[in-house]
Amino acid sequence: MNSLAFFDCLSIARRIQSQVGSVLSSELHTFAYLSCLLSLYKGNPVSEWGYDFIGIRQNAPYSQPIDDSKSNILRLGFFDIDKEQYIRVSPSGILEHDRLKLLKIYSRREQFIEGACSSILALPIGLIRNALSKEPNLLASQESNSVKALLDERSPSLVLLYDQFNALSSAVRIEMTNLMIPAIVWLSYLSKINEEKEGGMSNG
Amino acid sequence: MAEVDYRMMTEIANIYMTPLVKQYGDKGINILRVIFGTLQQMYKWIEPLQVKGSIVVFVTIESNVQLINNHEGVLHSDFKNIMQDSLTSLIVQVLENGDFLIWKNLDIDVRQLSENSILYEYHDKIERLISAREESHIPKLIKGRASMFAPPTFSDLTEAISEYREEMVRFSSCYLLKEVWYDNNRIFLKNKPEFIMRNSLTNFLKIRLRGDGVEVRPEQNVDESHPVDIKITWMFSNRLALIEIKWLGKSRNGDGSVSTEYSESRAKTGAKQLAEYLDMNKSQAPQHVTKGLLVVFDARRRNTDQLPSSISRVEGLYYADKEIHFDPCYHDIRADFFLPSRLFIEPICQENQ
Amino acid sequence: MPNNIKLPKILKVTLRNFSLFSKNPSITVDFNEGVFCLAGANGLGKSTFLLAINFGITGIVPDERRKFLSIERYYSDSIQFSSKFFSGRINENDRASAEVSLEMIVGEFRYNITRGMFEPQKIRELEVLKREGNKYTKLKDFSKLTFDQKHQEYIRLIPEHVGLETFEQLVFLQLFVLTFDERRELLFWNERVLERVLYLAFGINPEEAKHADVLRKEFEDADSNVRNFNWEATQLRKRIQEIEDQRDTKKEKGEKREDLRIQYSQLTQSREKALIEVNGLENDLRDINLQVGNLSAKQAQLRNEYENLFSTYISHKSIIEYHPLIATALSEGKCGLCGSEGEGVIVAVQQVVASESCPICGNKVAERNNQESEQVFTKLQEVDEQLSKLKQSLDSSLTAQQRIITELEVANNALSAVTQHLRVFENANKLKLEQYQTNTVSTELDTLIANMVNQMENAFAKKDSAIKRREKKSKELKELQKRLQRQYAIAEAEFVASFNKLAVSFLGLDLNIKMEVHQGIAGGISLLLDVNSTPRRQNYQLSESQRYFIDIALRMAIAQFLSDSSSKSTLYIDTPEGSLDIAYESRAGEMFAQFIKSGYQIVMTANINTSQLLHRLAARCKSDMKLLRMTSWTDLSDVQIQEEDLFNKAFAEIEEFLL
Repeated sequence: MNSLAFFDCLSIARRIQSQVGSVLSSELHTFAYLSCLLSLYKGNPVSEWGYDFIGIRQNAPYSQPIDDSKSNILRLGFFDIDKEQYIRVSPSGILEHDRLKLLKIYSRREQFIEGACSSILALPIGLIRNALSKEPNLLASQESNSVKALLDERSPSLVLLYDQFNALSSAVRIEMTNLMIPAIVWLSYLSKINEEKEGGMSNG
Repeated sequence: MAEVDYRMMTEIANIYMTPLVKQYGDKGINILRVIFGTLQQMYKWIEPLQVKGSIVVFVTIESNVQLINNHEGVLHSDFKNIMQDSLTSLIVQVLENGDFLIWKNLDIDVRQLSENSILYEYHDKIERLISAREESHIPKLIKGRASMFAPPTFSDLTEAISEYREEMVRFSSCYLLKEVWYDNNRIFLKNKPEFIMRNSLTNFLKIRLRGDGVEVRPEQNVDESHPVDIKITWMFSNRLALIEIKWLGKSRNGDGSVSTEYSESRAKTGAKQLAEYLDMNKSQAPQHVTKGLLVVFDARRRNTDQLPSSISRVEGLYYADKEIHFDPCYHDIRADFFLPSRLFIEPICQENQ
Repeated sequence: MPNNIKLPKILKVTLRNFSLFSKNPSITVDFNEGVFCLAGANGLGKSTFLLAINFGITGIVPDERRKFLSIERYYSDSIQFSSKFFSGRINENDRASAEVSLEMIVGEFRYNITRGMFEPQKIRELEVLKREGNKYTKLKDFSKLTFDQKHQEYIRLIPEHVGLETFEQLVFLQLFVLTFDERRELLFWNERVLERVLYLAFGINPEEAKHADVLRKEFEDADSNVRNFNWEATQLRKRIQEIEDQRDTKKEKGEKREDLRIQYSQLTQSREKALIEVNGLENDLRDINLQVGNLSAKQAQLRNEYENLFSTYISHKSIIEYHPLIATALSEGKCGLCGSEGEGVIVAVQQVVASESCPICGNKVAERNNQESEQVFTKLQEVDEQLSKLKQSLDSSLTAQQRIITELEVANNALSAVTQHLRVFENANKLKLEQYQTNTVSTELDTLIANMVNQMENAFAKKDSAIKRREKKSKELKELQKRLQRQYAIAEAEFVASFNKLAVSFLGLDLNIKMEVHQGIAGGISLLLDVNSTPRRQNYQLSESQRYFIDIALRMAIAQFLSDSSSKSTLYIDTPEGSLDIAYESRAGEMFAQFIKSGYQIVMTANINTSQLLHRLAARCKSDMKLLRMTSWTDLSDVQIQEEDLFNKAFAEIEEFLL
């Protein structure tokens, strides 16, 4: 059991639910990954996040600890799930989350989760999902045949990601604890520079 | 892709880093959060296209300052009961406790208002952030919908296609679909428009379809034996949707001659091909629940044999309501067949003819 | 961006007056599209055949004993060796007349060249034709040039037509990448060579690759200079000391000596202070390192404790209501234990839940759980608090550590500066000090010492500038490598896919190549091989034959990556003498066949041991494969005659496939 993944799951679900009413399993992985990236943006090393991600087909991030946590949370009754697989945080889940988030080991992470989930305020979830799939490490994971661990410190695509983050931080210029704007700007950037590529495939 | 586009990154950053955000840091961002949150709530109840003038949402830097002096705003706690008919403008001030002060049909100077507040303005499909008299345009990353803060995402495929029809197809508003036309009045199509149609629909679904691990993929080898244009999978369930696209109407070559003409029978053939394909492939993916959907882009017009360059409303919209009768009605007799979607594209018609 | 190199494709070779092939000293071979295979018993001269072709193209025969230094050096250092190589294979009488002629295609050009077997830098005949439509027209008339001049033209033109910057690069690619010879080290496992290949293959353009090569050499030169000059200087210092000790030392007198003494003691004191500073900081660093180490260990321990507590906390939260059996019973009205169905089931289960006791063992669950849960949570809060404080301490310790490291570096620099100053002063002035004594100093020794001091100071100065040069080159090299990495990230997709495809067909496993950049001043890049048969890694020991074929696959992938699509290159493979694992032979054939199918050419040698491979190849390639027996070329020894019989049987089978 990875307590960080457990907390992140609850936290992400709660935030997304408050904006669009419910959350999907795949969205838990997506926003956990985005939160982790924001932690890198703030200069923390990859190892500090506490659990790993791999890239699966269709350029989506996946984390086993997140999936395990989701199952545990469901079993404990902190999540409810409906027939269409939409997840909502139950009242007992909310209570548990309120209690856990006072622990300092988690409150440090809230900054990144908050930044990641607040991007939904300005960008539709589908667009966020699409934009994130163009992130350098996820893009590289699509090319190789084998399952590839994301954010490996020796991988060339990590360099590309840091290039983007350097540009992002000079563009945003001001140091802020609230990461909503870097998140929105970066995702909009990824979306825009790939616009031409998507539209240009007119001959299949 | 290796080189970072610094200019673009800075351009986008400057849109959200309004002067007051820069000046007030975290406080400024919180105001932005409040504005965005309010917009999402508001657009659930208010249809932006129905407001003739501007929609303005603002938060003052110092809490609850009264900036609009001569007119009394009405206090609301939500947007449920706002009457929308014939609004020429809608102005919303968000207060610290989450309530709203609302003014209707009032003319105000947004620039002046922005001196002490951060302001969102929607006008004529353009959305702006204004503060300290400086404005920036919010990038329209989603084409078609009136506001970036409003587009709904769909879990249901047929709902999504309906929205696609209204938003993108009917008036050929999709920026990709604009390229399929031979002439400016949208009477005739260009040769082989199916690729563009496929890309247009794929793009839309990629962003607007919400589902657990949903993936929208255009198919490469499309022919008689494999008529599927778009494949949609939901990774964490075993659902699979296969979309076949067919178009009706006349297409013309570069030299003006007619290259192809498809009428109703093409749609019927398409349905048959799809049904046969579903049958043939039942054994291939037995764990999946597969369903087929036929999408028909309908660009038929009446009396176009003389290849006119303009068309009347009568001739242009003749087929607007002409539903296609499928025989057999696959969607009635098969559980794995969606009701086919017909997307009629209106031409630009001459008013006085 | 590569994919536009047009490597030579061989059409025809003629060997004249080659005494090794005693029965047939003049041999012509036409090469087909696809696979050409020269088959024969060991020792007949198959390898020589390949070497002769490469010699024809490049003028070079690889010297296995020579260590690879750089692409430029490789060419120039091998010329001598190459000019003598064929001595054992060609009679004295035939020396002058033994030659190799080649006809090859390079992009839209056709080359006909003839080279004497002992003349690496001469060309006897040169013809270059350019294709226009369906015809070939002469580019220029070279007939009136001397052999040397023709060679000059050749080494000027061919790299241009291939798309490389220098002839040496072509030689390098031809001999190291396109030719596989088991006697030389494998490409994948030879870091120096592989690095050069990578730069060429993935570098931004050949110009940059050449620059990287030069930079690397310059860095290494500067590095060895630093060491050499340092050694020289210290030796000189020792020697000077020895000579001075030979002289008498009398008591020093006079004002000038007093002045010098004061200066000297000041300098000595400065040095003392600097030394104390450094020692102090070194102690501080040791202390802080210890502190950081302790704190990190404690942090790991606390984290572990936290995770364990958390697991316990969560496990106590298991609520009856959410157990699968209960939940299903409530929602579906069916008991998972006994199968009963209906409204009654739901009512009964609801009562169980309301009673808060376990239906199986009767214990009061909820209350017990809640109490225990609370206790654990309190402990959890304590550990969390400890962790938080510890993190703060660790963060500030790390900051302090960084600061001390920087200060230590500054102090060390200051120390060496003042030490050097002191030594120079000592040596220069001991002389002066001695001069105030009368009679006991011989002018000769003085001059000698003065000269040596001069030399020593020169050496120190050269060392300093060598250090600066080394820093500069290291920085430039690192930037180049970074650029390369980015380019590689893009090229990785293409190259890896192609390598995987080839190697998967051979080993049947998913392979993965990764590029790694080494840290430190020396830098350098290399490739790592990952064998993934499952999502988790397993350590694979590759057998010798597997390594060979991975290496061949790598070369194929690089050749594919480099080649222009209109001009696919030729790969030369001198098959290993030893027997391969039978299991892999036919798969190896499959790998070759795939390579051919995508339009490339292979020129290979084979012996009796490779028959499985050839079987497979023949079956797949059919008319794209040409098999040539060496029987008619030389006289056979007794052993070889015996082998020939076996051969005949084996190859008859293979030839059947080709019909």
